[in-house]
Amino acid sequence: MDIVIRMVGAAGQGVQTVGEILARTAFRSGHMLHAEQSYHSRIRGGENAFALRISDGPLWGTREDTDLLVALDQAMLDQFLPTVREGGWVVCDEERTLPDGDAVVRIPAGRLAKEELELPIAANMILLGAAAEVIGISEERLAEVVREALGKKADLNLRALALGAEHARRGPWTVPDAVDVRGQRMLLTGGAAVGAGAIAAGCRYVSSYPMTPGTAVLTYLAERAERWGLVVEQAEDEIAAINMALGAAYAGARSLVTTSGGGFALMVEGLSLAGMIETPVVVHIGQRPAPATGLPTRTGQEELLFCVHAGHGEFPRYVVAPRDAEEAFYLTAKAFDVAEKYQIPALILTDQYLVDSFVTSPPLDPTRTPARSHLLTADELQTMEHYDRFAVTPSGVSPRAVPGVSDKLVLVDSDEHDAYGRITEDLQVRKVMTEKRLRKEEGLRTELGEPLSYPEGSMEGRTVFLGWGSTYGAIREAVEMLNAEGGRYAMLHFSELWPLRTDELRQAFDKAERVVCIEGNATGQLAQLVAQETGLQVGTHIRRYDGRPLTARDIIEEVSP
Amino acid sequence: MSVQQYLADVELAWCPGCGNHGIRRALANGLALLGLPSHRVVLVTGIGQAAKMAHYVAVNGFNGLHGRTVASAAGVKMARHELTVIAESGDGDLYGEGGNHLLHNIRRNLDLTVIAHDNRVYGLTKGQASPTAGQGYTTKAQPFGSLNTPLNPSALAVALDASFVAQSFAGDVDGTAELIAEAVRHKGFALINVLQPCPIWNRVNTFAWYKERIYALADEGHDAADRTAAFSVATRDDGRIYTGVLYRRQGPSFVERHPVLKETQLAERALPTPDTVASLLEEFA
Ligand SMILES: Cc1ncc(C[n+]2csc(CCOP(=O)(O)OP(=O)(O)O)c2C)c(N)n1
Repeated sequence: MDIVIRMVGAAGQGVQTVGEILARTAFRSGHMLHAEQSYHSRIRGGENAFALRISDGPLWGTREDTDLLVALDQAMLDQFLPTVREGGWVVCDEERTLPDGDAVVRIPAGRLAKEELELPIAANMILLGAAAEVIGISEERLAEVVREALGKKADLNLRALALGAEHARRGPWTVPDAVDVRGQRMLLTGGAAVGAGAIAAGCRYVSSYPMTPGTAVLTYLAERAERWGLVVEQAEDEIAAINMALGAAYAGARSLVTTSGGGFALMVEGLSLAGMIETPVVVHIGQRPAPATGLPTRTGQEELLFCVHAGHGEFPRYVVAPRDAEEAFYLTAKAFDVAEKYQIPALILTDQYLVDSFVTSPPLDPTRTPARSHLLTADELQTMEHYDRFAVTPSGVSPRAVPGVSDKLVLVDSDEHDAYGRITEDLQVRKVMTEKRLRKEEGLRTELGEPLSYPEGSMEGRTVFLGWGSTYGAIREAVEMLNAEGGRYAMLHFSELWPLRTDELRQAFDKAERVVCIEGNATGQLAQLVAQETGLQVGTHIRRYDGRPLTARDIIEEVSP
Repeated sequence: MSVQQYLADVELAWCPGCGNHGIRRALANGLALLGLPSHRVVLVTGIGQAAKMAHYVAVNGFNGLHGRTVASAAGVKMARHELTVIAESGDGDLYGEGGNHLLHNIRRNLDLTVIAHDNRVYGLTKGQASPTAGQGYTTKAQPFGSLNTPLNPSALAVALDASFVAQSFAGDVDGTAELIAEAVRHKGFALINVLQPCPIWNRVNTFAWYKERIYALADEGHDAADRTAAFSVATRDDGRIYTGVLYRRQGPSFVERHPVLKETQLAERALPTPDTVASLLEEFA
């Protein structure tokens, strides 16, 4: 089984609500799923689509074709009808105009919602009930999820579902109620994974200014702030956000800012301040197509080089781009730890596709992210004769104290400074301090995990797909499909991007028959970074930059003769 | 603690005769009046001549970016609200580059004291007009004279219902020290605009010029609880310049209103254990 149920409508019609309910039902029924959300940048009208792909095997990403189209309005029906594949079905209101056929299930949803339920908006739940009948998903699970999600409003909605089911008929699929998989899998979005990773890492302070898709992390954390003991403050602008975060971090609170490319652009001076005052801060950047305001609600991978180079002056940083929600949790936690340990800024690059998609993932392991302190304790400070915040050490890392925990004063300065933190124009000190700061990168390199190679084993004679971040799923699926047809393909995927590990790259270039770089941008940013770090040139590129996520099909179509 | 203990033993890069010297003494005096241990105080500054204060007094210091003084101070305060956090910088930093942070931190009403060195110029960058420069004030960058209406910090702060608004003269070390102590004691956001002569760049608003114009509000029987009276003093147009506490109101600070901060200092909260993380992850199961 591998079906895509695409629920589409205008903003305000509840596409996301019905989509989430169906996704959760599929999850409870024991299936793997990937649910991609796409929407226009507006509150009412426009396009809103929830593409729920369900399978009983592993799923890596989204598909652009549709098995079952559930259309809540005419415009979206017209727009998405061409994506319905041969043998696909449509569920819509009886009033919609489209060519009739065996595979069109017309439901008097609008009329029933008004007459039977006296609640016109409930037409969406009636259509959901119909769709559930068509795919043969467990009514019981569906009811369970609706009760949990809607509480008091559940009864009316259950009636709506039943009305829809009554007027529908079974289609060619069955999504069985499989074994109970509770505890074996989790259902989450990439945005929630970043937020949970932050809390797990001991994040205490979040200052941010709303910007899609970074906002998803802001709201996840704000809603949980009281429960987990965080301050989540909406800043007056992104410049404030990062400077507030650095103030809090200086005082000892692990800090996060979340934004998108445009907001990050405003933070760049603050990023450099973090480098200079050696104060940890984690910045989550949910990418969307740019330049400038770009396409606010779409996806892309355009900020890799920006993140690697952002900030005036020279200082170490850690840049990661998790491949999926599961890794987003672990890498976010790691970013906090690395930032604390090396007293540097860490940047987490996701994108709208990763942030908003619901996916089933292996259960996240709460023991894999132990939060460790990298601060001097009050006792340690008490025994010190004198404290220098920027003591010059072989590793470049100076033991870090925060103000107020002992009688030792802590001074940090955005000007060049001496070991104590005092402003200086002594050029010999300047040289020593520059080298001290940059030396931290040596340790940082030892923290880097290997890029992911798939399938395991030699890349000898294979076409190797090189990728980064959330395009992992599409590339993985393409490799699986191509190899199933007898192809010789492999992938080398990076989710820790700066500093960049080069050994595996050199090996891949050495062994591979050819290297194809696959990215969600128009200029090949990873390929440029690889060339910068190794001198190796990628010969072939597959790029998508129309604001939609890359899919396996994009790749297969490019490489198939 | 003696005043001397709050003064860092370093060479000062300020010009002789600069108002900054008096403000430094006033800050040290003010801290001595409060009897605060040095390590319980954080001085957050930005960039400019005034902002070098972080290096010239012996307390914790965060000398951040130009204009971002109040933003960083807010972060420090939210993370460790039991510390006394003072934000200090020039008028260019606080009212120009960082104007937005001032506006919104007045609204946040954290228990912060902001000391603005108002010399009506950008001292460090060689004398360009600051937001408080008078109309017609000429500099190399404003050869036709500043065309803009000067910013009125006191009126602005009262208009935003800042919790504590005051003004002092850098030449009056004791008066400034007392105001600083009062502002720190006040629970809520406090702005002190310190009128500061700049003998190098500002040849108009000199020490003598201020001496002729300033008067103490206390001598006039001003009621600092009266917002309307405060606004009319701040906006009076008779050439006289007030000093003292212009406006003061009581009310819960950010920390008192925040459900998470009421209990523990944020930065003192323990790191999560695997058990905590396990329950955090339950919602995904
Ligand atoms: C982002 C940024 N812009 C400009 C500067 C240059 N700069 C440093 S101090 C300053 C103005 C200083 O004026 P003010 O804040 O009034 O302090 P003063 O020197 O008069 O005490 C400027 C423009 C800077 N350091 N950073």
